[in-house]
Amino acid sequence: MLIDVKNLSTHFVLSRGVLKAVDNISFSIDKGEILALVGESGSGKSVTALSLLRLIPNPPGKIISGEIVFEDKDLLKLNPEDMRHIRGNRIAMIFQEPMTSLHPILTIEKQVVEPLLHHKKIPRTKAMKACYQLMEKVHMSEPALRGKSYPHMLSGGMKQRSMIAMGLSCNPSLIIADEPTTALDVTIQAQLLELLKDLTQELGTSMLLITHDLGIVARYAHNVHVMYAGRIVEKASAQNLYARPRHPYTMALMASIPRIDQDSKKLAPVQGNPPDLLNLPKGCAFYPRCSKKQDQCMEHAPKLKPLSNNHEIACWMYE
Amino acid sequence: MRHYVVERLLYSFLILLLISILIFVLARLMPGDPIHAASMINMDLANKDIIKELQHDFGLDKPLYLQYLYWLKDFIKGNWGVSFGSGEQVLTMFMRRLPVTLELFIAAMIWAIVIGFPFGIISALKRDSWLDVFFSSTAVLGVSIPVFWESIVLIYIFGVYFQVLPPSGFVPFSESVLDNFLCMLMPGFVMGTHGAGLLSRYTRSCLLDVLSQDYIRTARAKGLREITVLVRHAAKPVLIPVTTIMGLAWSYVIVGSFFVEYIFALPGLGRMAANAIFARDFPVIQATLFITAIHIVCMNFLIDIIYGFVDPRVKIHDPA
Amino acid sequence: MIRHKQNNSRKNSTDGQQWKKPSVLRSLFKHKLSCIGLIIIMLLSFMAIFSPFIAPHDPNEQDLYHVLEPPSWNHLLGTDDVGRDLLSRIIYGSRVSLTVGILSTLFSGIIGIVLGLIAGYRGGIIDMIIMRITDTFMCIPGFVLLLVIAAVIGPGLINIIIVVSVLGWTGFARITRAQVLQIREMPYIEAATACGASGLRIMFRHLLPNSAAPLIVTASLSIGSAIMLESGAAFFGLSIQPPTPSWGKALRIGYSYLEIVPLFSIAPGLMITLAVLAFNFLGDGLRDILDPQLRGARERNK
Repeated sequence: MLIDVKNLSTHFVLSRGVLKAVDNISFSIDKGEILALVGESGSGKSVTALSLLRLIPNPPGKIISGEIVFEDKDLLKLNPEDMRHIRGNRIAMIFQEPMTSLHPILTIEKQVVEPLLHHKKIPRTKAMKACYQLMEKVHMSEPALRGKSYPHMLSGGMKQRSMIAMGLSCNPSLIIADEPTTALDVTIQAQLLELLKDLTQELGTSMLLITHDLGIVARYAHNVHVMYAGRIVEKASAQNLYARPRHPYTMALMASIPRIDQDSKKLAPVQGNPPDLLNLPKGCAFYPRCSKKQDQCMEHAPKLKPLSNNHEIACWMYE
Repeated sequence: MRHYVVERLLYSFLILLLISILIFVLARLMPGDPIHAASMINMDLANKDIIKELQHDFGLDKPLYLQYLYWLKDFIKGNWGVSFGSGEQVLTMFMRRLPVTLELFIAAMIWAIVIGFPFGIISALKRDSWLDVFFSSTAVLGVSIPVFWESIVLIYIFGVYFQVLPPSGFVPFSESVLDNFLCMLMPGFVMGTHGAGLLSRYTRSCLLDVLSQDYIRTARAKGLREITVLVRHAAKPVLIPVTTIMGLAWSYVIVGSFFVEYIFALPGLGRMAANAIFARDFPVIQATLFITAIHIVCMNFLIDIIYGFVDPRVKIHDPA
Repeated sequence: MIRHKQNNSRKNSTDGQQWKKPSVLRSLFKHKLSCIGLIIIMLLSFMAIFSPFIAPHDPNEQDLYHVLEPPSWNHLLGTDDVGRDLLSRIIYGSRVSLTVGILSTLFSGIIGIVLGLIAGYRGGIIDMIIMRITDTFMCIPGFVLLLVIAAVIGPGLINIIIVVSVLGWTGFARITRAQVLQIREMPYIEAATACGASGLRIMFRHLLPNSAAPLIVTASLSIGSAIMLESGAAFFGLSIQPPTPSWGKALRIGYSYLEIVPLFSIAPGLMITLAVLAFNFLGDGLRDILDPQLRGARERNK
C-alpha cells in the first residue's frame, strides 16, 4: 500500500453552519494503481485530494480527524517543513483549471523547473535540461518556444501538459489529478488522459484520478470509489463497477449516461436534488433520491461492507 | 509595443490640450483683472487711460482665443510670462521654488511607501488578527485626517510642547543638512500620511486577492516555502496594481503641499500658487496649474508604460 | 493549507461536532467599524439638527472681556478670539459640514451617474467624449481645482456646494459606466430592448438599480471627501463667511493662537476627522457587505 487513508474528515465552518465536505472516509492506493474518485459536484472528491496534501484553506476549513499513512508517516502529524518536502516531490497535484492554476506572469519554463530546483537541489543548467526533456515527454509541441512563453499564450491543452510536466518533474510516488481534463475539449481530453496513463505506467507512479465523468473512469482507472455527500458509497474495480453497479446511486448514474447503442428517447437523470451538505439527512445521505429505499435507511447511515472480492458497498440493501 | 506607447502618447497630448484650455478659461473667468486690483491700491493707476494702456501692454484687450493661443505658444517656448504681482519672470520664480517642493514631495512619497507597504502587507498576512484591525484602522485614519489639522497637531506636540522640532521655516540643504532634515521631517510626514493610508489599504486588498488565486495554491502544492510563495509568486501580481495607485497617492501629495507649505512656512510652489490665486495673478496661476497637470499626465503615462512592460498579459510583450 | 499557528485551537473540541466560528472576529470587527461610523454620523446629524437645543451659548455672542480663555465650567472648551463660546461654535459648525457634504454628494452623484449611464449605455463617440472630459477633470487634483473655481465664483455656502459638486462627479461617472458596461451585455437587458423599452427606461429602470451597490459605497466615501474639501476651502477662507461657525475656519484662526489655546484648533479639527472617519468606516463596511454579493451575482451570471 502506497497510501492508506483512515477515517478522514474535513469540515468547513461557515456562517450558515458546519459543512461536512468529507465525512469519515477510508481508502488506500497501491503502488502503480490508478484509483478513480467519482462523484458529482459537492461530493467531496476535490476536498479529499486537497486534504491529502493538507492544502485546505484554514479558515474556514479544517481536517478534523483521520490518518493518512504515506511512506510510513502519518501526513496529518507531520510538521510543516516535512509536509512541504512531500508536496510537489513525493506527492504532486494537477489542478482542474490550467487557466488560473498557472502563474500569469512567470514563463512556463520557470514554473515547470521550480519543483526540481527546490526539491532536488541540482544546478540550474541541469534542471533546465531536465525541464525541457519533460516538456518533450508530455508531447508539448515546440518546447523551446513554449518554455519561454507565458501561460496566456498557450492553448488549454498545452497549459495542462505544462502542469503534468510540473507534477511529474520530481518523480513522485503519487500524482493526484483533480479533474485534469474537465476544462478542455473532448479531443484533447482523450490525448491528455492517454498521456497520463502512459506516463504513470512508465514511471510506476500511482494516480488518484478525480472526476465526475464515468466514461473516463471506465477507460483509464483500475479501481473506482464512488463518493456521495462526503462519504464513499461504493468501492470496486472499474470492470466490476461497470458490469455490476450495486449502490442505487451508482446504478442511477450509470443509467443516466446516454448510450448510442440504445434506443431511448428520454434522458434518465438521477432523481431529486443534490444534497444540501449543511443539512444532511440523519441516515443515508442518498435516501431522499433513492429508488430502493427502506425504512432503516432513514434512521441509520449504512457503513461500507465488503460484498464480494474487491467490491465494497454502503447500502442497507446488501446487509 | 510601439503601438501602445504611441497611442498612450497621443492620448496624453489630447488630455493636455483639453486641460490647457480648461485652465486658461478658469483663470480668465476670475472676476476682475489684476490691473484693476492694483489700481485699487495704487492711486496712480486709477486713471482710465493708464489702465487701458497697461491692459494693452499685457495683452489683456485681445479676444480670448487669441490670448489662449499666444499663451500656449509662449509656454511651449519656455516663456511663462511675467508675474503681475512681482514683475518677475514666472519661470524664474518657479525654478527658485521648485527644489523645496521637490524635496517635500520626495520626503512625502518615502514616508508613504515606508509606512504604507509594510502596514498593508502585515494586515493581509495576519488577516483578522488584532494587528490587522489596528493597521487597517490606522490606514483609514490616515486617509481621514485633514492635512491642515494634522500639521497643527504635530506642530503643537513637537514644536510647542516638546520643542524638539522647528514649528515652521525652511533651511536649505546647502546651508545645513541636519536642519534641513529636521524642518522637513514633520511636513514630509504629514504629506505622506494620506498616501500611506491609501497604499496600505490597497496593498492589503491586492495581496489578499492574489493569495486567494489558484496559482498561489499551485505554488504551495509544489512544496515551496511560504516566503518563496510570497516573494516569487505573489509579489509581482501585487506590485502591478499597487503601482497604479501611486499616481493617485502622488496627487494627494500635491494637494497636501498647498496646506503644508502654508502652515510650515516653506517657500515652495504650493505656497506660490495659493498666493497667486488670491492675488488673481494669472500668469502664475496658469503656469502652476498647467505644470501640475502636465506632471500628473506624465506620471500616468509613465505608469501605463511600466504596466505595459511588466505585465505580459497586456499583450504587448511577445517573446516570440 | 493547515497553518500550525494555534489561534483556532481553543475553538476546536475533540469530537469535531461543536464548532465556534473562527471568522466571528472578522465579521464582528467589520461590522463594528461601520457601526461606529454609523453612530458617529447619527450623533453628528443630531448635533446639526438640534444645535439650538444642545449648544450652551449663542455661537455668535461675543464677549470681549473673556477672549481666548481656557476651558471652564461656563465655557467647556474655552472661548475664541472674540469671546464666543467654542463649544457652541463647534456644535453649530456641524451644520455647515454636513450640509455641504451631503448636498454636494447628492448633486455630484446625480451628474456623475447620469453621465456614466449615458456613456456606458450609448457607447461610441458619446462615451469617448464623456470619458475624455472625465479624464481631464481627474488630472487636476480636486483641491487645486477647488481653489481656482472658488476664487472665480467667490466664497459662500451655495458656491462651495456647487464647487464641491463639480469636483466629485468624476468618481460616480466612472463607476456607473463600469457597472453599465458589465451589465449591459446581460440577457435581461437584451430582453428589455426586444420588448421595445426605450433607452431612458432601460437606463433608469434596469441599469441603474443594478449598479446601485458600488454607488452607495461611493456615495458614503464621497460625503467624507466632500467634508474634507469644504473644510480645506474654509481654511483658506473660501467657504461660508463669518460669522457663521465653520470647523475649517475655526481651525485657521485657532492656528494663530496655538500656543495660548491649543484647543481652539485641536477641537474643530478633531470634529472634521471624526466626520470623515465615520463616513469612511461606513463606506468600507458597506463595501465589504455588498462586495461578496456582487461577486456572487457576477459568478452566477457567467
